[in-house]
Amino acid sequence: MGRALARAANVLSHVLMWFSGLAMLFMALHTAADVIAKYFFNAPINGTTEWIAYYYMTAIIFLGISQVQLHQNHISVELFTKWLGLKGEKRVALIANLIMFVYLAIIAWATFDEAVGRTSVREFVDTTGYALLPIWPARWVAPLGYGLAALICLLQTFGWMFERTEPDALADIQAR
Amino acid sequence: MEYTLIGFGGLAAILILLALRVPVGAALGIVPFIGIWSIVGFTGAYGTLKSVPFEFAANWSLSAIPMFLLMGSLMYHSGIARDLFDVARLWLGRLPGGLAVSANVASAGFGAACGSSLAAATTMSQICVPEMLRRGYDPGLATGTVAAAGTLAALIPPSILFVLFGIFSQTSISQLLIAGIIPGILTATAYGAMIVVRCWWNPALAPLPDVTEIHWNKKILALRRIWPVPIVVLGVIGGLYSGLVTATEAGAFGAVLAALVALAQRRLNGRVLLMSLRESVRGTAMIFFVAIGAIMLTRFLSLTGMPDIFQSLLQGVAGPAMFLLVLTVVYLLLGMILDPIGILLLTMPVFLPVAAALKIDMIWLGVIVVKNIEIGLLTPPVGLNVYAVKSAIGNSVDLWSIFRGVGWFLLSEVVVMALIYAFPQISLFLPSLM
Repeated sequence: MGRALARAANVLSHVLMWFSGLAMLFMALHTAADVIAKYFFNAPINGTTEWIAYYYMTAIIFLGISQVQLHQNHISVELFTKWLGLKGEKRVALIANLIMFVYLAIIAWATFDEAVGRTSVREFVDTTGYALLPIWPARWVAPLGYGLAALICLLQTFGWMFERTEPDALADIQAR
Repeated sequence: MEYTLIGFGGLAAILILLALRVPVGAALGIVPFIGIWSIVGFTGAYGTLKSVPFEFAANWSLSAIPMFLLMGSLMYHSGIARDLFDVARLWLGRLPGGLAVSANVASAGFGAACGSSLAAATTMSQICVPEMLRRGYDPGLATGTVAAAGTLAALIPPSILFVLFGIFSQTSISQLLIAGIIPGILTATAYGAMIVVRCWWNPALAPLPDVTEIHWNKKILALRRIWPVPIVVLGVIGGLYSGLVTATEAGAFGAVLAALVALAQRRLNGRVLLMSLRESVRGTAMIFFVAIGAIMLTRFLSLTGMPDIFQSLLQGVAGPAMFLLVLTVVYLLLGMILDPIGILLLTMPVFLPVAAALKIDMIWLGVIVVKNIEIGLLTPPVGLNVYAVKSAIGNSVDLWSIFRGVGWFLLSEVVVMALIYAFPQISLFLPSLM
């Protein structure tokens, strides 16, 4: 049961990551196209700012979060726990993981609640051009990302899911 | 007064959680949540948590961060770092400590393509250190150079730290990015001068190459290899400086340019693009997880009224000078345990309201904060740039030698920092022309 869940969470996390990567690619192209259209053809693409803020940014930020949890890439202080020895370090890691889970679960629930509310009123924004852009679908990205991260954190806490340390140091390094 | 106690208790709780290795983002999120709960009740705290993540994430200005990360990743995979080093060697290789000077200059150039000092230090150490060691350079000098010169990437645009500082301090991100240029060049110059003087004084540190003078034709022809750098610099820094594009647009433009450049050099394929996207997605998610916590902390601290207390305390003592001294000490201490993004996001909710009340110029403060954080990357016990170099080059040089080599660069930092504190114009001149 745990293992199957772990495998499913792993697959879903990677799927979400690639959606996030797609959003990043679109964001770069969309913005660059807008700049070119603005300065060379004097015709900016309507709604670029809103698309980037509400759809691309939220997708990049929230859909990537389960990956950070999966690979335990979170920024943290490692200096003080080094002296605890293996057993002590494991206990501390358990506590830290549980606190992490509680936080992720609360924030997943809160953003879920928010998404339900915004969906029921069909939230939209007035774009700089003329169209009304519905943004309620974007609200669902946050609970999805946080929820999956919370699940992965729980699975890790119970030892059903281990991070596989990939040789992907650059993501880690560049972000710092 | 009771709220102030809650505030101090909250900060203490955050530090305890950090020591227990709770990820910075979670510690910064959960403690303020409980704190806000205890001040205004559960509904208020829950409401904050409901709205903050989306409202912070859905932000046009912040999109400069993923774009800068993508640009850095693409430039890294395009192999520009090696070309920069090779060309710098042709031009500067015959100076005393020529390879180290070249590594320093190449790092500054790479910094114009990449916004993160750890990425720059890692990349440059893989390329430059083996070459310097092969030529009989002192290991401390070779590794110290790349560790220290890596910090230039966070000063020279693009820079992730300046974007985050701009968001939290509500200052123009473009102006902040431009403000980093002269301090960056000043730092690079100080490093270079120190290397030359040291190696001239003690030639054993860096044996001179036995090659003859390289012909000018060859030097000028070699410049063709680094053509992408001026293009990206013009596209990004030029666009920002002229005010034609915002930081976000500059970042997106830089990422597209970097992709086109890599395509033209036949170094971009599907695999490289996917790798770059994956790295940038993870990097962005990691940064924003912490940043959302920092927003929670800002909300919590403003409820406790602590910024006012700090402000009256500091104003009572000595004003801005005292504040900057406290700030420098705090950054030096935090630099010992935490990485740049963590330090920046942890301290801004506390420092910025005080700085605003003391009417300190936010752009100047931004440069000071980034410089201080970067120096923290070089100081033991957790000088992350030193560890980055160490893990990039493996066992050929021990950690202690790297710290020893970095010591000389820290000495030149004392001079650079004194100049930046004494002459705010160094930071403010370029932005004032915008």
